[in-house]
Amino acid sequence: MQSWFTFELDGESCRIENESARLTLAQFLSSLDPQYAHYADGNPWHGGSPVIIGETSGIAPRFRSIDATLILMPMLADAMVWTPEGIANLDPDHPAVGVLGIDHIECSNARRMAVLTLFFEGFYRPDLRRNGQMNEQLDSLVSRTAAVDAIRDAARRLFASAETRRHEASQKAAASGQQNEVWTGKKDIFNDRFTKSLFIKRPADELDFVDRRKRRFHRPKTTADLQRLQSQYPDARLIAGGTNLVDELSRTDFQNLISIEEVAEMQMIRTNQDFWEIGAGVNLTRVSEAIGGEYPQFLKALTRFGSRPIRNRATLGGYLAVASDIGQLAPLLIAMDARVLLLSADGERDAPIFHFFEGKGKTILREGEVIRCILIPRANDSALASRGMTTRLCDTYTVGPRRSLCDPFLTAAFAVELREKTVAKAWIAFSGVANKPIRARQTEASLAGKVWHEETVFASLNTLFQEIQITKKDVGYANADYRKQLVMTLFQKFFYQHPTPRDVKPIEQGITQEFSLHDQPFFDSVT
Amino acid sequence: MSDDHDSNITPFPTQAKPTPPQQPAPVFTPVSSRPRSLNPGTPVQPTSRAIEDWRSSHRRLYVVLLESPHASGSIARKDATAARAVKGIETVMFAEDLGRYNNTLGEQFKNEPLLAEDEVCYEGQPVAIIAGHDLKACYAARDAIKIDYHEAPGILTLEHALAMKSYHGGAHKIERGNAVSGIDNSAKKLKGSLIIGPQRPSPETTPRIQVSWQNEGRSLVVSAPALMPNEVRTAVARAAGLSESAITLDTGALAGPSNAMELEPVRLAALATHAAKKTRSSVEIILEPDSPLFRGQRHATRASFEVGFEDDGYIHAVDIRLALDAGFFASDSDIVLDRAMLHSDGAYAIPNFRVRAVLCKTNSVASSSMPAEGAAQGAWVVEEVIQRVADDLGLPAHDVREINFYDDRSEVRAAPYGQPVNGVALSRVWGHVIKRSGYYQRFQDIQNWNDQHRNCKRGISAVPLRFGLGDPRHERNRGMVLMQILPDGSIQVRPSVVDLQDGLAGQIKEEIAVRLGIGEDTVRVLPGDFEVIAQATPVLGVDVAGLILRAIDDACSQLIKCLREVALQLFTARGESAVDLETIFFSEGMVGSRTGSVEPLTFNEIIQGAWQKRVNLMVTGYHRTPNLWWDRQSGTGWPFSAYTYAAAVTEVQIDTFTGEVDILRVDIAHEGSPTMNQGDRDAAQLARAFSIGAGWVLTEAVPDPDAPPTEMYSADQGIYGFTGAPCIFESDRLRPSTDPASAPGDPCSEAPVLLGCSVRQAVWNALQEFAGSTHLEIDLPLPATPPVVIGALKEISLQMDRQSYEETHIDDSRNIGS
Repeated sequence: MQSWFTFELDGESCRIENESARLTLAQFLSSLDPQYAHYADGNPWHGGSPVIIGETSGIAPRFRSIDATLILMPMLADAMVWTPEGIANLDPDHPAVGVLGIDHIECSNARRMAVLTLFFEGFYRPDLRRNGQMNEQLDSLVSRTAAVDAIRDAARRLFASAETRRHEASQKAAASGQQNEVWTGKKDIFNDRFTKSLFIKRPADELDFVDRRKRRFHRPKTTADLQRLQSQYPDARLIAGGTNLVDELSRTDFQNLISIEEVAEMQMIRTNQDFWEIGAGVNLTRVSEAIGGEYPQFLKALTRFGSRPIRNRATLGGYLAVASDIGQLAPLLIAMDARVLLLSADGERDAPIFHFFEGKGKTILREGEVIRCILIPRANDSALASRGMTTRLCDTYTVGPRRSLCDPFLTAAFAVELREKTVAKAWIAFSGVANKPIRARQTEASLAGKVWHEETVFASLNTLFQEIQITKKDVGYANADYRKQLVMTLFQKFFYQHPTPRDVKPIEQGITQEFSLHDQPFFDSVT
Repeated sequence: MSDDHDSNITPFPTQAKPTPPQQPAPVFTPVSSRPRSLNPGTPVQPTSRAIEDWRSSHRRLYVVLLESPHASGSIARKDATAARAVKGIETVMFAEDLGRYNNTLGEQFKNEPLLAEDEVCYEGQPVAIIAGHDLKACYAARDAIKIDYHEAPGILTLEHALAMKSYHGGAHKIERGNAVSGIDNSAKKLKGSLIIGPQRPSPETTPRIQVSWQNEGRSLVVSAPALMPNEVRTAVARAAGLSESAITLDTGALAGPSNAMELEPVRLAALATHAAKKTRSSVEIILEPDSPLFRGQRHATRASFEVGFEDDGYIHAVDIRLALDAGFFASDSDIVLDRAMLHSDGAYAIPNFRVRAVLCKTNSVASSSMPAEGAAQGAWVVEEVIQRVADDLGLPAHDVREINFYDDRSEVRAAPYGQPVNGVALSRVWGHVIKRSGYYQRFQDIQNWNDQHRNCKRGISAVPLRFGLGDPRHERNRGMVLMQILPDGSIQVRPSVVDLQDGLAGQIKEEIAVRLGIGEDTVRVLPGDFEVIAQATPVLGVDVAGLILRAIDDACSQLIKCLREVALQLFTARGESAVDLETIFFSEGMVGSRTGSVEPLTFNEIIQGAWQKRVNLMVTGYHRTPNLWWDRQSGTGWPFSAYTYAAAVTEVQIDTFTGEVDILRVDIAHEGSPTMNQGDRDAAQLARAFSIGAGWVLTEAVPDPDAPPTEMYSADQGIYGFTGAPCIFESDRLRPSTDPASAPGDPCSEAPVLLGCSVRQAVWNALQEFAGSTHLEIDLPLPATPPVVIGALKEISLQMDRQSYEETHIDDSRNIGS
């Protein structure tokens, strides 16, 4: 047990001693220095106060923006934190800091700093290459005072400049015959003071922290240690990401917290020909980077999930354990036919995602049990062929008061596996209609064996109407009638976007191409 | 002994007598620390209690409010005995404890009581003030207060208030020609109505309102994020029984006008002051995160109208009735009502026009203001009239708009209340935006696109705007700056305006730098310094930038006059006597003359010279808009310093499965400020104001007070932010043509809110496209949230089904007949 820990703040080592184990980074910063005073006012629903951390658990080290109001200090032990103030002080000529010179983009210094943080993260993202990804990077900016157009312009210019440097580095690597690791991010092509320190950052150690009020924070590195701690502190709250934790702590004070974020086994993403195995402690951004190519619908679901700083922290394990009744990912995970693998002292067991939820905040997790990983069946051609299927059509839809950082009204996910043109199996799942994510079993059964055709879908609507009852209370203006309507129309939308086995990609009758220049690379957008 | 004190000043006597301080008492006797104004004539005895009083002004207490849980009802019994006994509680105050004549916010707030006396009038109305040493004790005391309410149903909605004829004052009217006979004599006529929902500001945190004693208890410092600092000061002075000069305000830096509040800080600061006065301590008020006391909302509006028109769309006469929800106490609502009426003719020269408006009294917290309050509600009604006329005739709405525009060739060239309208300026912005957006081509393209897509529909609209700059209350239209040049040539400027961080400081810097020919970096702008500049110019509804910039202009002229004389003396001293005073110019840090070949001096040399000669380099600049008048009784006047004109073309796409709306492209032509290089700031202000309007008409639905309670949902989740913003946003600021002498103001900070209406009209157009060629009635309440759009689509489908049924049915009956 120790009453202190260290982390790196703006390039300097910082020792935390005798602080409360419940102190958030925002609270800590606001008491540290007057320049950080605005962190005390950060509101997560308004985008919070993003800062940068260095992440080393993935295939390559990355900068990630996280919300300082949603993270407890002990979670940052051994971490590397860059505040926008620190970045601007240390390197006033950094391309991302240039945004501070455009003072009309926002109406307050705190929000300009938030823009700077998100720009900084985007600048170093090797996968941020197209205009369409800009929303995903900047979706935590939800104020009425953001001059969106000015921010877009500045972002385009900044991301294009980073892309140019990556292109040059890539050409150089090709010319010299070296292995091209620019696009994986494994090679430091910027070689500035920030990336230099990121690339030599050591992974975090285990931690047993106790504050003066005997509140503990544990961060084991192995599952064995985790199980030992769980038996030692049966009332301990497990955390994986902890984006929900600060909110929960305002209602209940957990004496003991155990973070699974450094358990090596839960930080892994593995795959074989049948499954993706995603560790419970992997953050959603990393998950999307790994499986987004195979499951574009997962990327789509994530664009509506919280905001970039939240996705950078939230994990699949944490998400499932919270068991939200309006969760945006649960229906899709059901439609992807995913399973959870649970680990306890008695051994392992697994369950389909659908059976994992028992109600709002209730799961089948027993005392001393923990989600080890999530198994997602492969959806590539060879995996489908081995199951005897021709095509898998899958999509998800979220309707909410806005596109990011909100409580959605309803989420639906659909999947059909086709043998030639016949439905072999179907998945229809919703959240936001009852106290847990639900499945339309009868409708699924009624689809099986039928040809994937408009008439089939229309014939099944009646069953769907009978089967899904809206029992969850109204949220805002989304009354039961509207959500019932969505249950029906979204299934039709799924069909209209995927009418034939060929149309694995949704037929968008939307805005993507003409207006948002979704696929236009940043590289071309600025000349 | 200590309890014999004047109860006005000592803390409320608690059961547990405070233990005497452990430390040795300070040597000095704090008799003089008593504010004399509070208890004139009362002999002050230097007792141990007085020492604690002195200490108490250095304490900080928390103040929480007991809020009414009911919207309406009477209070049968109030009992705070248990609450006062809670450890750590200094005082619990009811209305009776505030003192006679003190339980009011003052005349300009229609004498709203600070604390409910024997009835409660809205949910969240403060009933008791609790002040204590720690927050937990305060909450415990709040829970321990026993209040028996006799709940009454109350009037919660505008409809209910109209039915009950629950009004604040009488109806007001603006009239031109004869609307009634005009409608009767028209070829066609129709009636309609429009409901405009409220909108809420989105403060990110609960406001921090603190009141602290200063100067040994003789003055107060109030920190509150207020848009109307003058009113806060007046209310605090009234509550504290001090003169206004004893109050210092600290509004801090606010993040734009849409996140701050007008009336709410006034009420809260007054409540906190009472607690501070009673306990003689510095206090901070702590509010519940969802308290209505800082969650004021816009005035919800219900409009009904009657219109008479010709077959070509020309409108003869319009008769509009407006009802605005003011809440139970009409604070600033009179002026909102005026603004609604003054904008209700929009950009249209309607020869016979009448608007009548009332303020409704509902059991809700007093409605507050946000940018373009009132103006938007008024202008949107007439756009609805145009849309309905166009629908009725089967004409495109833009044709009906154009035929009715104010035009310098027509007879009607002034608004119904008499202020002239510039038809040329209007047609200029309209022509510009139509051309720049390729409107007619896109109108056709969209119809083709819609023919090919049955599940998504696109719509496009073009909407004009005429917005009055300035406040009809002429006394508000003034701005002041205090400007001083320091010995090193740098400049401090203090404008009489709260710091909104919206770029006004940059604009001021630029103006001064240009006028005095110096670098921008030597100018320091200190907005919101109310210790030095006591009076503030309101920021909402007033062309604040225009006033301040003109005041700057005034100050610069005075300084230039002084400095020219100094320069002349310096030139003469150098032996260059041929210099003409009027030709001395300031440019690029130098001061020279256009006459002869004079070697110029640097700006700093002039300042040094002025310093040596003891020339006053501290000036006040002042500007008031001349010749404003507005007579509410007769409905006539010249209420605005100028009109600004703009037009927007907006294209949207609706998803017929979910009712979600995407804003694809917005083109705006707007008269901008004529100052140089402010394009970026104008564009940003324009985008912000537009997003407020678009959010209001589209997604920012405020929960219906009559509906059954839903799960926690905050209306500002509807603010669409970065991801929902228009995919393409093009704005052109045109130089104002209206009046060459028009103020170098900031027309883009409020007026574009009205253009949010174009989003709604585009959704309307998309719904028409959904209906196809059939002639159907469309009803689209505002805001057009996804359920509302779905509802409208359903209604259209039903009508289409009915029509096709009737057609087949008629055919059948013919068959039978034959």
